[in-house]
Amino acid sequence: MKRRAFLKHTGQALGAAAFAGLPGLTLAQQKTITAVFAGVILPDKVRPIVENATNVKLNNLPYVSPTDTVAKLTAPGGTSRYDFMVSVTNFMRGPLLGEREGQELAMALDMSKIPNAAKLLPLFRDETIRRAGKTYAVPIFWGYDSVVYDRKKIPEDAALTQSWKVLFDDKYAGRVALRDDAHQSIAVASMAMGHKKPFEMDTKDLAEVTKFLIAKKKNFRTLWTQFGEAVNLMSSGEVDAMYGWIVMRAVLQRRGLDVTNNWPTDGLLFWNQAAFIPKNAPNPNEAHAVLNAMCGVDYGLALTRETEYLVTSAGTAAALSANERRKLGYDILERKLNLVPLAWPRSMDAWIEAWGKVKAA
Amino acid sequence: MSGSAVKPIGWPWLLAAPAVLWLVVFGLAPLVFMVAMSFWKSTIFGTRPDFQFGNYVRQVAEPLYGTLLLKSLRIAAVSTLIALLVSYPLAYFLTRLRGVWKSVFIIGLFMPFWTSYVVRTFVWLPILGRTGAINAALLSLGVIDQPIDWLIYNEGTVYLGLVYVYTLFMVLPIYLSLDRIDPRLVEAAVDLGARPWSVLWRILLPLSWPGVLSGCIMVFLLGVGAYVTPRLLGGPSGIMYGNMIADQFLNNSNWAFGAALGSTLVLVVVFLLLTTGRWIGIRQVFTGGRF
Repeated sequence: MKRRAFLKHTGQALGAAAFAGLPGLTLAQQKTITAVFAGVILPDKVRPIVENATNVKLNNLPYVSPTDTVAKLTAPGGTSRYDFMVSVTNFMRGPLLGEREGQELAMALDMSKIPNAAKLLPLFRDETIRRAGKTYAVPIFWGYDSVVYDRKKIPEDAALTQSWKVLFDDKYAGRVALRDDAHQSIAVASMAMGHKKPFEMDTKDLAEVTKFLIAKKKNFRTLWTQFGEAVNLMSSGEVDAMYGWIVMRAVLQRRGLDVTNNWPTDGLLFWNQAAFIPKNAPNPNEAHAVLNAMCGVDYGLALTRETEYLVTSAGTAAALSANERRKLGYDILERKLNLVPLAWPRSMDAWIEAWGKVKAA
Repeated sequence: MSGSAVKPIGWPWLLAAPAVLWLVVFGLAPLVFMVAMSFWKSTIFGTRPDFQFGNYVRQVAEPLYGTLLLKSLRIAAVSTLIALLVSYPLAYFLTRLRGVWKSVFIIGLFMPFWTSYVVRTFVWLPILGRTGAINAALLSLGVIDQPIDWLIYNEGTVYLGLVYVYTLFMVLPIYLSLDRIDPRLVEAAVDLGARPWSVLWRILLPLSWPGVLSGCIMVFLLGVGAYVTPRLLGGPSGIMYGNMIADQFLNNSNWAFGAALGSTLVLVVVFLLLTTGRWIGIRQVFTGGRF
C-alpha cells in the first residue's frame, strides 16, 4: 500500500470510529484525577458506578492513615498534588481548617455542584467540616467498631457479650484479641470501666485505665495490627472474640463462619470519613463531580452491599430493606446505644505513652 | 625512580564523587534532617521548625523510653548472638561444599529472602499458632491432647522471627571470610596435632573475625530498630523502641518527638560501637582485616 493510500484509509477508519463512539475513544476523553482514600470505599464492583456517572477516572493512591493524609497535605506542594481525599473526619477537622481563617488546606466546596450532599442522614449533618459559612469537607461513609465474635463459642444473648467487658473478662482469658492501637484500645477499655466519654478522660482517669489494661493484659492472646492478621486470628480459631471492624465481620461471614458483632451497651464507637478537595487541586470540577457521586444513592447502595460499610446518604438508607438496615446497623439510633464518636483525645501523646506502658509491663 | 610522591593524574576526586554524593544524599542528609527535626515542635496542625529540648527532656522524664531502649538493646544483642551461633556452622558448611551442591545450598539460603519481610514474619503464625502445623502434628500423633499456647506470642518468638529474617546478613559475611582462608592452614594445624576446637579457636575464628563482626553489626543494627517482628509475633508484650518511634509517625503526628527518639537510638548505638569497638577490633571490619 502506498503511503498516501495508507493515510487515507487510516483517516477514514478513525473518523468512522469517532462517529461510532468506540469505547477506546470515549475513554480518551475521560479525565483522570489523583485521589487518596482507603481502597475499600471503591472496590472493583463499585468503581464503574462513580467513573461512569462522572466520566472521571480515579487514580487512587494507597491510603495509610489520617496522620499520613495530613502529612501528604502539609508536605511542600501537597495541596496541589492531589485532587480528592477522604479521611477520618474528626482527625482531619483541625489540620484541614488550620489555626485561623485563611489557613485551610482544603478548598471551600461549591455546594451547588454537590446537590447530593444536602441529603445526608441527620446523624451526619453536623459532621460536615465548616468555617465561616463555607463547607470544606462532607462525610461520605461511616461505620462502627465493636466486638467481632464466634457465636459458637460465645453466647449471643448473654449480657457480658453485649458489652466491651467481654474482651476483658477472665471468663475468656487467652481467647480474645485487642487491636495494637493506643487510641481505640484505650477507648474501649475505658468504656468497659464505665467511662461514657472516653476521649475526654483526664490524666487520672487515663492512669486508671492503664492500670486496668496492665491487669488484664494476660487475657489477650495477642494484639492485631493489620486487617488480614485479624481476619486470620478469627478464621483459624486462634481467638473467639476480638476488637473488630465491620468489613471483618463481612469477610468472615462470607467465608462461612458463624461470626457476628456485638452492640456494646457501654458505648458504640462510631466514626465517619469525609471527602475534601485540597486547596490547589488541579482538577476541582472533576473532584466536585466525584464527591457528588459518592454522596449519591447508587454508589451508596453498591458500597454498602459490597463491603457492609454504611454511607451517609439518607436515600441509600431508605432504599434498603428493614432487615438490611438492622443487619448493617443503620438503625443504631433506634438501638438506644451510647454512641461514642471517634475523636482525638485531649493528649494523644499521653495515650500513646500509656499504651506503651501497657505493652512494656 | 626518584623518591618524590607520585602525582595523581586527572581528577581523582571525580572517581570518588558518586560514592560521596550517595553518602551525602542518602546517609548524611536524612540523619542531619532527623536531628534538626528532633528540636522542632509538632502539633495537630503539623510540625514546625523550632529550637527546644522538650523532646529530649520528655525521654529522660518518662522511664518508659529508657526501659524500651534497654529492652531493644537486649533483644538485638541476644538475637545477634543466636544468629551467630546458627550462622557460623552454616557458613563453614557452605565453604566445604563444592560444585553444584554449593550453588544449590546458597540459592536455598537466599530463597526465603525473595519474599517480603512481612511474609517471612507472618509465616510463623500458621506454623506456631494454636491451630498451626506444629500443634496439629502433635495432636494427631497423640503427643498432646490440648494445643500448646506458648509456641507463639512471647519474647521467644520475637527472637525466632528476628534470627530467621536476619540470618542471611550474618551468614554471607562469615562465609566470604571463611572462604578466603587457605585450607592448607587448617590441614597444617591438624597435621601438627591441633584438635578441632583449637583449629576453630586459633585459626578459623581469628581469620574470619572481620566477617563475624560485619555480620554481628548488621544483625544488631537491624534488630535494634525492628518493629514489625515484635508487633506480629510478640503478642501483648510485643513492643520495642522501634514501635514507639513508628507510633509517633503513623498514629500521633508527632514527627518531632519521633525524630528525637530516632536520634537517641542512633546516638546510643554509635556510642556502643565506639566503646566496644576497640575491645572487639571493630577497625578490622572497615580495613578488610588488615589491622
